[in-house]
Amino acid sequence: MEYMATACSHYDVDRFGAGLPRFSPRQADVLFVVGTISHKMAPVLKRIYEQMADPKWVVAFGVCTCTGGFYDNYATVMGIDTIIPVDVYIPGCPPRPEMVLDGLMKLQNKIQHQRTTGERAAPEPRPEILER
Amino acid sequence: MNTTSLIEAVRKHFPQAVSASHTFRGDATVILRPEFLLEVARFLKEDSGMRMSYLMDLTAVDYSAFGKRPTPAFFASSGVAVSPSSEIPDENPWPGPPGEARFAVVYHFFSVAHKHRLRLVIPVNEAAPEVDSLASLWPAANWLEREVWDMFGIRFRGHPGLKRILMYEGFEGHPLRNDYPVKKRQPLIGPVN
Repeated sequence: MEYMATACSHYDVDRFGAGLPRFSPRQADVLFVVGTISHKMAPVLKRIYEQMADPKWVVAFGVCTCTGGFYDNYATVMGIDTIIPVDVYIPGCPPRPEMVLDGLMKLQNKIQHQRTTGERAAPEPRPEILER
Repeated sequence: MNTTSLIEAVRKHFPQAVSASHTFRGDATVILRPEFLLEVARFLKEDSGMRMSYLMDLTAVDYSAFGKRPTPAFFASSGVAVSPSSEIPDENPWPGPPGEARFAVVYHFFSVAHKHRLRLVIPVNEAAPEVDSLASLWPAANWLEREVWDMFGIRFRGHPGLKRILMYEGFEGHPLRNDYPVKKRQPLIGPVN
């Protein structure tokens, strides 16, 4: 829903080149993981990520995908970076469309940096405060 | 039919099935003995005065922590088992959990034709948590009973395929029971935290 708000005409994600969501991982470059991921869904997410062709990037959209959000329970994955490497984290519940566009611009800068220097930055390790 | 006449109709047809009944603010509740569930449900569905064609909800309650949890310091009016203030007149107070059974399966019926509702409550013991399935009468009961099995561990006799619906197949335990720790994760892949 928040992605739809960003993609429609008020905030228009198409001007960033991200206007075509494709529902097949084979044709995609960026994976936006929007919304809470449960433990039942986690293997499916990993499979979708592995089906994407390189080069690929992952954006964790919303605080449930970043750290688990306020769901500290039996069903929720506490951050999808425990399963797949994430490039940009967009927190918020839900994130404002301006935050989404800011995250998209950060991703664009990151990709630009990759092309000019030829190396991919390693995913940052989780801070110790989140390790339990 | 208003709430009292609904309860009277059920009591008249099944005098030995009803163990208690209660109305509160327009909601009629009937507490049944478990062996009469199928007959009463069929009567509710097919009787022309009842015509309860819509099973709105099928859920369960775990009373094992009833009255034992302390009320939270914040939002005191939303705590567990908080009784309302005695100054509020209540001519029909809630009678409390039905009996000593740990669980109660709660059914909400609605009649689209007559626009009346009824709630059925079936007390279920922890030792033999089994209830008859209503999936033969209402197709919606299929998934609702699967959810109750998944979350509480109450089996339904005669259900065409009782398996987990919200959690995955290898999950151990029944999460909405009061003795399942909320934060106990059983991840399929990835670390526990």
